[in-house]
Amino acid sequence: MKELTIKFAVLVLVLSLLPVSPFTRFISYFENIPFLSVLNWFVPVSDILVVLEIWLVVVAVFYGIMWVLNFVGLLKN
Amino acid sequence: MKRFISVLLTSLLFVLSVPAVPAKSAPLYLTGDQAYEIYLSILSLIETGRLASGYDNSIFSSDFADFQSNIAEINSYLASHSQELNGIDFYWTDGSSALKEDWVDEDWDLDGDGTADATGTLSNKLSVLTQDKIDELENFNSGMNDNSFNEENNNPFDILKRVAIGAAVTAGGVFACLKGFWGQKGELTSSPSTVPVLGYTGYQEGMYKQMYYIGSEYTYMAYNYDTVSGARQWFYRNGNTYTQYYGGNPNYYTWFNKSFRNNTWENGGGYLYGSFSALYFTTNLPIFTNYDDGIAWSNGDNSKIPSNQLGFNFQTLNNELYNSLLPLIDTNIRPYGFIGIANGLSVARHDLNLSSDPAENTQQWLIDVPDTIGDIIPEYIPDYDPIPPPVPVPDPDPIPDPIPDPEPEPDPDPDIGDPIVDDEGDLTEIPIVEGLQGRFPFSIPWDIKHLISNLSAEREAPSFEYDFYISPRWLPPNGFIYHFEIDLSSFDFLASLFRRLFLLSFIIGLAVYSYAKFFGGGE
Repeated sequence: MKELTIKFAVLVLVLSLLPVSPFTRFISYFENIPFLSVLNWFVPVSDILVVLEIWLVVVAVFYGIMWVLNFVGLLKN
Repeated sequence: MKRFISVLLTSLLFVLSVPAVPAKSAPLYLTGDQAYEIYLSILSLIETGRLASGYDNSIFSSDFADFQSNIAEINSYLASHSQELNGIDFYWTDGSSALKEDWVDEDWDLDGDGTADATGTLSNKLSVLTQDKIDELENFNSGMNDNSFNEENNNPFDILKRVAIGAAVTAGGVFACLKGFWGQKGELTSSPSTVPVLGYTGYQEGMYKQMYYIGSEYTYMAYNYDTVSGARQWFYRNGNTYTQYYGGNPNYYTWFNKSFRNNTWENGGGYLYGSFSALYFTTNLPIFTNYDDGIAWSNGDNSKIPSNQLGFNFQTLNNELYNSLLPLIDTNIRPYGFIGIANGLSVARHDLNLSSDPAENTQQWLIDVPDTIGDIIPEYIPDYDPIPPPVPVPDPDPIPDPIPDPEPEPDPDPDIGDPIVDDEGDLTEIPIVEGLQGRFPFSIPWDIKHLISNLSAEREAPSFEYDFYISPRWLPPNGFIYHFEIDLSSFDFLASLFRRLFLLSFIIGLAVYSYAKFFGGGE
C-alpha cells in the first residue's frame, strides 16, 4: 500500500510538472462575441457540450480503468 | 416591403432562368413587354444597388448602366406634356425661381416653333422643382452622402451594401445576357444568335431627339425627326445591312455615326466596331425593307409604317406606369425621378393588382391599407435623419464561465469510475483530473470543451431591422427609407429540426471517431 501511495504521489508530481495549457488564456477571447444567440439558433451548442462532456467522462473512465488494470498488472500493455 | 423584395427576387430568378431560352427555339421567346419589364427590373436592381451602396448617389453618372435612358424617359414625358409645362412655374432646389430657358434641354422645342428652345443643361433639368415641392424643401439635400463608402461606416450592413453592389454588377451581367431579347421586337424573325439585330422599340410620334445610352457605347435613338429640319429618320434594311436615312438621303454621320453591316457596326469612315458585333442596338426609327415606302414615310405618309413594327411605345408605357406609380413616387415633374423604386414597383404592380382607379392610387390611400399593398411602399420620412440609426447588435447572453474554478480538495477515495456526472464540479474535485484538465497535452479535451462552451448562449432567432436610406436629391422632400425587418422566428420549427439533425450528426461522428480510436486496429 505504501508503494502504491508513493507511485501515486510521483504521478501527481510528474503531472504537476507538465506545462500549463497554452490555449487557456486565448479561449476567453471568444467570449461575448456578437450574434452568439443567433449561432445557437442554428447550432445546438449547449447540447453538443453535454454530449461532449459525457463523452469526455466516458473516455476518462475508460482510460482510468485501463490504467488501473495495467497498474495492477492485469494487462500487459 | 417583404412582398416587394420577394417580387424583385422572383423577377431576378426569372431573369436568371431565361437567358438560355433564346438558344432553344424562337417560339419560346419572351414577349417584348416581358423583356422590357425584366429589363427595367434589372435596371432597377442596378440603380438600387448603386444608390444604396453609396457607390453613386445619383443618376447623373453616365459610366454605368442605363441612367441616361432614364433621363431620356423623363425627357419623353416632359416633351409630351409641353403645354402643361408651359403653365407651370419651376424653382431650383434652393427655392429660387427657375426660368424654363435655364433648364430645358438645348434640343427641346417645347413651344413648338420649330427651333430648339435653348440653353439649359442636363444638370439643371434635373434640379428644377414645381411649387408643390417648394414647401418640402427643408433639409432637401441632407443625407445626400449618407450612404457613401468610408471606413467609419464599416459595419455589417455596409458589407451588405457592398454585396448589393455585387448584386448590381451581377444584374448588369444578366442584362448583357438579355440584350438579345430586344431582337424579338421589330423585324427580327429568326434567332438573334445568327442574324444581326436592330431592335425596334416603337414608333413615337411627337417625340423629339432623344438619345438612349447604355453605358458609354450603346446608343439607340428614340426620335423620329430632326428638331431643326423636321426630316424624318428611318432605317432601310437590305439583307443584313442597315442604313440610316435622313429624309431621303442616307446618313452615316448623325447620331452615333455607325451603320450596321454584315454583323458589324461601322462608322462613316469604315472603322469596324468589332466589339459591337454581339450587341443589339435598338431604335424606334421605322425599319423599312422597301426603300420606296421609307421615302414615302419620310415625306409624311404615315400609312407606310411597316405593320410588323408594333414595338414598345415609350410614350404609352410612360403614361401607363406614370399613372400607376405617380402616387408612390410623388413627383409632379419626373415620373421616373427614381427609376429604381418606380420600376421595382412596376414589377410588383402586376403581382399586387394595383388598382387603375386614380382615386385609389394615392399615396395616402395606399398607406392606409397596410395589410394589402401598403407594406410595399417605401416609408415616407417626415423627419429624415441623415445619420442612420445605430445598428442593433444582439446583446449576447451571459456566457458560462469558460474555466471552471477548480477547488482542489484531495479526495482520498476518488470515485473516478462513476460515469454519471451531473456537472463538471464532480470531476474537478479529483486532483488528478484537475491536473489533467490544466496540463498540456491532457488539457486539450477541456480546452475544446471550454472553447465550445464560450459559444453557448440562449437561442434566439435571427432578427434584424435596418433602414435603407435612399435619397436622391429630387425626391420629396428628404428621400425614402426602406425599412427591412428580417425575423426568422417563423422558421423555429425548421431550426429545431436542423439542430436535432446537427446533434445527430455530431453524435454519429463522435461515435465513429471513438470506435476508430479504441477499436480501430491500433491506427
